[in-house]
Amino acid sequence: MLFTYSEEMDNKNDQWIVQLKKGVFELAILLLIRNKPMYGYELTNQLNYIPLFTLADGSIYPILKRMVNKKWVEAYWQESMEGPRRKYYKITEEGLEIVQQRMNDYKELYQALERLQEGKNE
Amino acid sequence: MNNNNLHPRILRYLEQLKEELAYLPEEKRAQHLIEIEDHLHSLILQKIDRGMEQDQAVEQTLADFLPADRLAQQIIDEEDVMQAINGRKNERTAKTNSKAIMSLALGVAAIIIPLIGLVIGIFGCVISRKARNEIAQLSEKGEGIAIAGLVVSVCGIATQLFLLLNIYSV
Repeated sequence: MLFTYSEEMDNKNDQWIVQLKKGVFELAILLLIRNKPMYGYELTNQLNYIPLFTLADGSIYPILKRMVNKKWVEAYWQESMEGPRRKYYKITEEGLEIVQQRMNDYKELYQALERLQEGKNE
Repeated sequence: MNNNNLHPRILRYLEQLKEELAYLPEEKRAQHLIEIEDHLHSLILQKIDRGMEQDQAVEQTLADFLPADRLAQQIIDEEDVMQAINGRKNERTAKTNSKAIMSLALGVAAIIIPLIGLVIGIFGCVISRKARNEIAQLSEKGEGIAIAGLVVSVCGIATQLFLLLNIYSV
């Protein structure tokens, strides 16, 4: 099937956004749980408020597992008023360091792109 | 899992997820299932609160949720990555057990030091036994050295016993 020019561009942009999102999902989760521990459903809801971070239901669990494995996040179980006990995720010291470091990296990257856009390449 | 209150479609989804996660240890698998069940339950309640019929809410929730096989695969992939990393780390950082080396040294000393070597040899055997226990528990290197330590210590004891017998017989 042949794409029109704009359809093709949209498609390429979609792929670019997908790749970009993959890189920042973990950071977005760390930023969300930095202030208070959250459980999977709560985190997905919070992410879904931001259109760029819309996440298919259930997809958060493999990401959270990866982050627990990396020791950026700690999981613990807590009794819930509404039903069975819930698994909460809280940020670790290592996670806080990663947030700081990654936010700085993103700022630097964005500033570098801005400088290129302005034609300043020193 | 409280199966009594679960909608049959949700129960089927969780059963399928359980089967797909068979690779994981029982406890880990149960924890994933409780977590996913809670998530599905919350999504259904949210839809019912917005005025949806229960059956429709269940269907909609499952349609939006990651299919059981894909979710299980992603969870298992993360588990595999972790095991692979840990495996490599252990292999790389595994050190030779110090007691194994000590048992070999004691064994050699038991052979060459007259008479006192008998006591040293017994120590060598004991230390070799401890070394093999530690190696098994901590996945350390040096089992061969610990066995060599035991053999040499026994040789040391035999040598010293032979020497003792000779002394007494003279």
